[in-house]
Amino acid sequence: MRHALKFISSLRLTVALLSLSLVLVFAGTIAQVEYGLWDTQVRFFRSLFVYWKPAGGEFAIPVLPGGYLLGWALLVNLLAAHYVRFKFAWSKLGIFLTHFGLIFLLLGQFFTEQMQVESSMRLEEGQSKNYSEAGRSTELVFIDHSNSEFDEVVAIPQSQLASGRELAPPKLPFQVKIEEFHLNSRLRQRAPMMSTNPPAATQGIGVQAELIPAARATAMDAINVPSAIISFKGDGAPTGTWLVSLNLDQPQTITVGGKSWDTALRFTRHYTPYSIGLLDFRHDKYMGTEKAKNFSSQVRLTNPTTGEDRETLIKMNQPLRYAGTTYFQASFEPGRDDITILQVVRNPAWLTPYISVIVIGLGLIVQFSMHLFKFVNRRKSS
Amino acid sequence: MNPINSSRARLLVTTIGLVMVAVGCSDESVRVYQVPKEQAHAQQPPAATERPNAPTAHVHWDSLPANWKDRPVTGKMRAAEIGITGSGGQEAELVAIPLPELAGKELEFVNMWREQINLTPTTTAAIAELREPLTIAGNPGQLFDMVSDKPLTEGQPKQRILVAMATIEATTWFFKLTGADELVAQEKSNLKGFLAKVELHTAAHDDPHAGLASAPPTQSAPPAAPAPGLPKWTVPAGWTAATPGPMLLASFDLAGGGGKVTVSSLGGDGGGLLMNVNRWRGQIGLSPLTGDQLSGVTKEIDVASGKATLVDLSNNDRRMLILVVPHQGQSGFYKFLGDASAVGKEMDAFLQFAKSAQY
Repeated sequence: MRHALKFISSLRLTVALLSLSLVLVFAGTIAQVEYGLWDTQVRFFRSLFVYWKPAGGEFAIPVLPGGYLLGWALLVNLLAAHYVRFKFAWSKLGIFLTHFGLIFLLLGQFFTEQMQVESSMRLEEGQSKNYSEAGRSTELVFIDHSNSEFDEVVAIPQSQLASGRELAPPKLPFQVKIEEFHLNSRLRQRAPMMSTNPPAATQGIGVQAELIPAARATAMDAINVPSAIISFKGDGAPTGTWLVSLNLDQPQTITVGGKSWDTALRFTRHYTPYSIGLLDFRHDKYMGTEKAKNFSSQVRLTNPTTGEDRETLIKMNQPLRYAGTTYFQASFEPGRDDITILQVVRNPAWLTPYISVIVIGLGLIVQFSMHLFKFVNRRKSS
Repeated sequence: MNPINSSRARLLVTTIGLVMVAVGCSDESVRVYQVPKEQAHAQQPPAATERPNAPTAHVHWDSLPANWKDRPVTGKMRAAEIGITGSGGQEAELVAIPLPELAGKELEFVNMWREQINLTPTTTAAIAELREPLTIAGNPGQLFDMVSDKPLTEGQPKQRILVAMATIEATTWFFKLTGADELVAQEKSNLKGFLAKVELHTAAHDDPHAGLASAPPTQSAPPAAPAPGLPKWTVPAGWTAATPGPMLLASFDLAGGGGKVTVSSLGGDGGGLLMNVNRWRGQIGLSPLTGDQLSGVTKEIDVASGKATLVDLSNNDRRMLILVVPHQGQSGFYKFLGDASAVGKEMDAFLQFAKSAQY
C-alpha cells in the first residue's frame, strides 16, 4: 500500500499524466476531421478510455486514457501528494491556495460536465413554452392524453435506442422493439412509380416514406437526424412496423387495448414549472447591410407556482437568469423577423471557475510576494 | 516525507476508486413525467413569409395529347397533375410545381432527381452538357433528361425523368415527367409542345385569361398615387397594372404583350450586384459573368435618390433591363423583360418610370 501511495503521489506521475494530456489533446484535435467536434468530445474527453476498433474487427481496443481518466488521475495525484507530504507552514500558504484552487477547478469542471444541461427554445411571437429542447439528443416519447388536466409522457432516451433492442418502459402496457435505428437518416416521400426501396414501415406515415440511412454528421453546424423503425408487443398491441423520425413533424397515434398514445422521436425536452412567452423580437442590422447589429427578445415570464407574471428583455450579453437557468439571446431564423432562438443553460456549478481562478490568483500573489519580500530583505541585510 | 498511515491510505484509495466507478457507470434512463396540456399556437405567421404559390398557383392549357389525362391535384405543392398512358399499359406522370425563385440551384435539383433513379451525382461543369434549352409559356427554360442505368425494380422497365424548369419573375416552375424509359422518351416532343403554349398563374384569378399578355387590357393605367406602402411614381401610358406575384411590389404589362415590368425591393444591396446579375443572366439563358466582366453590362445613371445601376442583358430576341435604385438602406429593383424590339422601344419610358419613383 505504501508503494502504491508513493507511486500515485509522485511527481513523475504528474509529468506522465500531463504528457498524456498533451497527446490526448493533439489526438483529439486531429480526430475532429473524422468525427466532428461533438463526437470527438464524447470519444476523447468525456470518456475513461479512447477506443480504437481495427477495420473489420469485433472488439474495440483502448489505446489512450480518456479525458475523465486523466482528469481524475491528476486530481488523485494532487490529493495524494498533499496527503503524503502535507505539513502546514505559513511559508507555503501560496502553494496551498494555488493547489486548492486547482482542485476546486478540476472538481468544478467535472460537476459542470455532469450537471450542465444545454438546450434551446424557439419561440414565435405570441407563443409561450414551458420547455426547452436539447439540440443534439433525442427521445422516443409515448404521450397519454387521457387525463383532462395533464399529459403523461414516457420518454426513452436516444442512448437506449439500438437496432434489435427490446424495451419495456414503465407505465406502458406494451413492449417496444427497436427493429432498426439509424443515427442519421433522410426521409423521402414515396412516389409509386419511382420507388426503389420498400416503404419504411407497414403502418402509419412510414407507409408513404422511404428511409435512407445517412453518414454520421460531423460538421459543426450539422445535426444528425435519427430515425427508427419500431414494433410493439403485448396484449392488444398493434401489429406491423412504425416509422419514427426527427424529420416527421407530427406524432402518430397508436391504440393498445382501447387506449391511445401519441408517439414521436423528438428533441429531448426539459420542462420547467414556469413558461416564457415571446412578445416581440427585434433584429436590428447595420444600415445598408445584412450584418446583425442587435438581437433582442421581449419576453413574458409566467410562474403559476410563485404567482410571478412579468415582462423582461433578453438581448446579447444581457441574459435572463431565472430559477438556476440562464436564457441567452442566441439566434434567429433567416427570413423570419418574428422568431427568436434562446440558448437555455442550466449549470449549478457555474460559479466554480470564477472562484477557482480567484483562489489560484491569490495563491500565486501570496507565493510570489513572499519570495519578493525575502529577496528584498536579503539584499538589504547584505 | 511523513510516515504513511496504512489504514488512512486504504480509505483514500477506496474512496477514489468508488468515485471513479460511479463516474463510469452513469447512464440515462427512461423518464416518466406529467406536463400541462399543450395549447395550439393560434398565431398565424405573417403574410410575407407564407409559402407563396402553392394554394392558388395553377396551369392553363388549350388541349392535351390524346393519351394525356388531367388528374385532380394530389400534392400540396403541385399546381397541375397529368397522367400519361402508353401502348402496352406503360404509365408516366407529369406534375407542375411552382416554388419561390430557385434559379442557380440547378445542380442540387438535378442531383436530387439523379439520386431518385440511382444515378451518381453530376458536377457543375457537366451539368451544362445535360441542359437543353426550351420555351415554357413564352419564357426561356431548360430541360434535363435522365434515365436510369438499369431497371429500379426487377422485371420493370428502366425509369426516365424529364424535368423542364424556368424562372419567371420570382417563381421557378418545375415540370417533372417521370415513368417508363420508352414512354417518357416518346413523350418528350409532346412535352416541349405542351410547355411552349402553357399559361402559368401564381395567384387565383376570376377570369382565366384576364391579365394575360395576349389578352387585351381590361383596365387603364393605375392612378399616379399608388397603393399605400408603394413609392409614388408616374406610370407610362399604355402600361397595364397586373397582380404582382409573391415578393413583388408592383407589376405592369406592356400594351401589345411585348414585355413585363416588375418592381421589387430588398434590404441592403439585395445580395450584391454580381450575384444578382448572374441570376438574371441565368433567367434568360446566359452564362454567368466574373466580377471583371460586370462593367460590360452595367452603367450608372442619376436618379432622385442618387446613383442607380442599369443592367442591360440580351439573348437572341429576349432582352432584360434592370435598374437597381438604392434608397434608405434598401435596393429597389425595376425589371423590364420582353422581346428585344419592344424593350428597346419602351426603354426611355421604363427609365422615366423608374426615375419618377419617390420613396
